[in-house]
Amino acid sequence: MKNWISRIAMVAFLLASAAPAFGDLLPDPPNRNRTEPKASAAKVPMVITREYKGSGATLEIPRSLWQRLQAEGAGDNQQYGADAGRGLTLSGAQTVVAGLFLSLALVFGGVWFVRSRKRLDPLARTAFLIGAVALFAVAGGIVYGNAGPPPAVTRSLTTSILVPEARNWGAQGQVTLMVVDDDHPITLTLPDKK
Amino acid sequence: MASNAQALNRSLGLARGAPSRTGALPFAAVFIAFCILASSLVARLPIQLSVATVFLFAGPHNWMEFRFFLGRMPLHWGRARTFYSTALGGVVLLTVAYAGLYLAGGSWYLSQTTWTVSTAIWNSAIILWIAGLVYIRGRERRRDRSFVFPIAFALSAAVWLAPFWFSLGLVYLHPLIALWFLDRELKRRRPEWRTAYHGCLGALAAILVLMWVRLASAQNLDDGGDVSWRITQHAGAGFLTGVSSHLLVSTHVLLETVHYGAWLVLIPLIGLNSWPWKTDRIPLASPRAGWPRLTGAVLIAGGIVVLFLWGSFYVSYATTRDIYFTFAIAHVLAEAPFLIRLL
Repeated sequence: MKNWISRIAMVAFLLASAAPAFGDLLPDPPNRNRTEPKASAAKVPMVITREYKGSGATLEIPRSLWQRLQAEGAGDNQQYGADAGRGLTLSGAQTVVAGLFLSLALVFGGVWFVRSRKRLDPLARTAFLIGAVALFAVAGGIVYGNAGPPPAVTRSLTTSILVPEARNWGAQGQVTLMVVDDDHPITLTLPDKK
Repeated sequence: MASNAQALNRSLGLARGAPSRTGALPFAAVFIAFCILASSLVARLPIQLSVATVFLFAGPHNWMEFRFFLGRMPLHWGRARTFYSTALGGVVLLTVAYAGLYLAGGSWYLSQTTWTVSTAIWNSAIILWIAGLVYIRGRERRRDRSFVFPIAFALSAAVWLAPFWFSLGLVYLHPLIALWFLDRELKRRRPEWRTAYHGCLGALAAILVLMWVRLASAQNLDDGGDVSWRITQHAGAGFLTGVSSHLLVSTHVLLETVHYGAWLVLIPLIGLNSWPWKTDRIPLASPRAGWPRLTGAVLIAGGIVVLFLWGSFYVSYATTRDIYFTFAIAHVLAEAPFLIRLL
């Protein structure tokens, strides 16, 4: 009898605690079968930055994107999606081919140096080595200086950029929408809070 | 007629066997004075002088370059067969590709992405073609020139990362190639003038720096018209938005003016050693084994093209300018192999 009562009490407790737990569940993940909004057909870069003296958050949207989004409302989003896709592909192709050529430059330069080192006098050989090291040092310095922030956190827009308290809930507040010239990506500027 | 040319050369101190250093100082003085005068005028009226110099000298300087290259082309290629085949084949293919790219770029056939990639491919092709020519020329002379390939590949990498910088570089560096040709001709025929000539090049650099200082904060040129828009875009104003278009156009026009002067006056006087229209010193026009009539006919046809170009400029300057600068890439490309052979 006591066992029966305790089991009923345990089920009741579970049911009672399930309601708030169910209420705290995250929203459903997007249904793959449902129709996505048209804007999701094109991915565009977005930057989140901070403004030291700003008083409120602003969201800057490039003018051409804004106009395209308006056109999209009229059912003209397919061309825009294709354009945006090409833009992203170009940068990757440029980097890949440039990397290929740089690799070829290193290989051919190395082969040339090995083959001709007997013909080169020691001064020329040393000068070549110093020149090569200096070139790579300068190029390396420029590349390192231009490197982006750490990729795990700041090169993708995921919840990892949020403080732990905001990861489940997100953040909300007012934002000023601004349409700007085309040489900017979409930029969300947040006021600096000391 | 040939004796008249030799008399002219003698009077200018250009004939072989003339007393050493004779004429070096007047040559340098005239060169520097011309650069100062040109820079002063160009800085005041950049658009007008750009129109005038292209109208007057673009065609004739192409004809003169063609005449110079014709005089340097051997009748029998011999061991240089691979070099000249690669050179001429490259000039034709790259020119056709450039013209096709330009024509397609003006239509809706090419998207911005395809245009950028095509430009990078064309730029890489020209770099690798020049590297190949340097290597082949080295093999002819039994010298290892394989070091050009790592340089060419590194340049190609840069071209892919920033394709339009290379194109802009061609616009500004091409006029200077004439000065390199002149240096090589002086080395062959008037080596005692080279010191003065190198001083002239230093003076030209100083004149350019002075002009940049003066025009650094100049207002952008009015590019509202068809012609002025083309001229400012050609000088890179659409790309270097932080630099005064007045400075860019002035720099380009000054370099082009010096380029025209070198090809139309200095190189013929020093390098041809005869009147340009005389074919007796052209190997291809040799009466025994060459084609004297064909060579003469080609030169006359070139002259007719120059007259036609003047007429076209007169009728529609903007359109003719577009067409001219598209096909003029051939003479830019043709300079590479002949310069390599002079080195």
